[in-house]
Amino acid sequence: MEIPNFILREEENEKILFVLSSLVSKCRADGVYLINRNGQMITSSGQSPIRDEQSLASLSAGSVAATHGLARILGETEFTSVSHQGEKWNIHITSVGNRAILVVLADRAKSSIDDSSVKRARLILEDILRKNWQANAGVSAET
Amino acid sequence: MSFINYANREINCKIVYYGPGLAGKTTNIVFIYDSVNPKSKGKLISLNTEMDRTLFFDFLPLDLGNIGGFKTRFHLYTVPGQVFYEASRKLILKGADGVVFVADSHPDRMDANLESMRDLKDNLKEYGYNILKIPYALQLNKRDLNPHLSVEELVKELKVAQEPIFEAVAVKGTGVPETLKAVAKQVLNVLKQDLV
Repeated sequence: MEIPNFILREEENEKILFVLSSLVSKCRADGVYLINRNGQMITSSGQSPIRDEQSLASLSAGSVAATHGLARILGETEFTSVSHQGEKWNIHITSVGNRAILVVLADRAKSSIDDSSVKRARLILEDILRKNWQANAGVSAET
Repeated sequence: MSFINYANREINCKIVYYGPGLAGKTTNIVFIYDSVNPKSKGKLISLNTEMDRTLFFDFLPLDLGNIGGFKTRFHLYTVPGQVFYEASRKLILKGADGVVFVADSHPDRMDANLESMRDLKDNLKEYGYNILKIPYALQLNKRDLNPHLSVEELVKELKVAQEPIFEAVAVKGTGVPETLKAVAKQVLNVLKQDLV
């Protein structure tokens, strides 16, 4: 196969979980999810009210893919984030590099999604995933 | 590109059902959903138009046992078949580990089959895939239609290499599990090689 698999090791998962749980605290979010662009859940943190996390992952990736398509029509490289506001829930979806998506789910009554915290988390996650990608590409090249 | 998660010992793979509009891609997925043990499947999501035509995708997560101590989860997607949904099709194809092409056996749909096949090859190429290398199966659907093209006629036009080919009547489930098994087996074989 020409495109290397995305291999997540336990130590990387722990680093990601640390970033996600920090974001849960800072935003007082109910759930923070890291999803790959193919619509598969990488890992999540918080007391998620969503039982069907696979559907959340698939639909979030679909939303990001459609938004990316819209950006390209307008000559933009990407719209890096999109927010949805409901009566009870806010959902904030942010691209993490070109491989993942960060989703923050928060109850409108008790929390507000802090853009600067999300941005900081995104940058750290991008760095973790960039190193993961480089390591995987190295593994693929060796085998 | 499969997602191999060592933290929870899980492998996620993506299989995309491709083909012209109304060829039976969604019917394949719905049959699989209806026939699989509830413990092995997630929720079926369909993003449809008001006329029940696929607007963006159908999505079905499916657990297919273990490989080397890893739980394997297959994510089945369909693409919208209508020509004007080109952009959506391309987005959904991204990251596919395997592809099923669902062809319509009706003689009037041959041009649509060929156009969709061209579209599939172009889109795969753009993502750096080679249709000759990616796990792939060809399904000749609607074999119960009258009239229908012969298997030889369809194969002559649509076969790309040595891929497994299945005759199907997706509304009755005929050929549906066989097609999925064939492409899933190829995906698992690639994974086994990668995991060694």
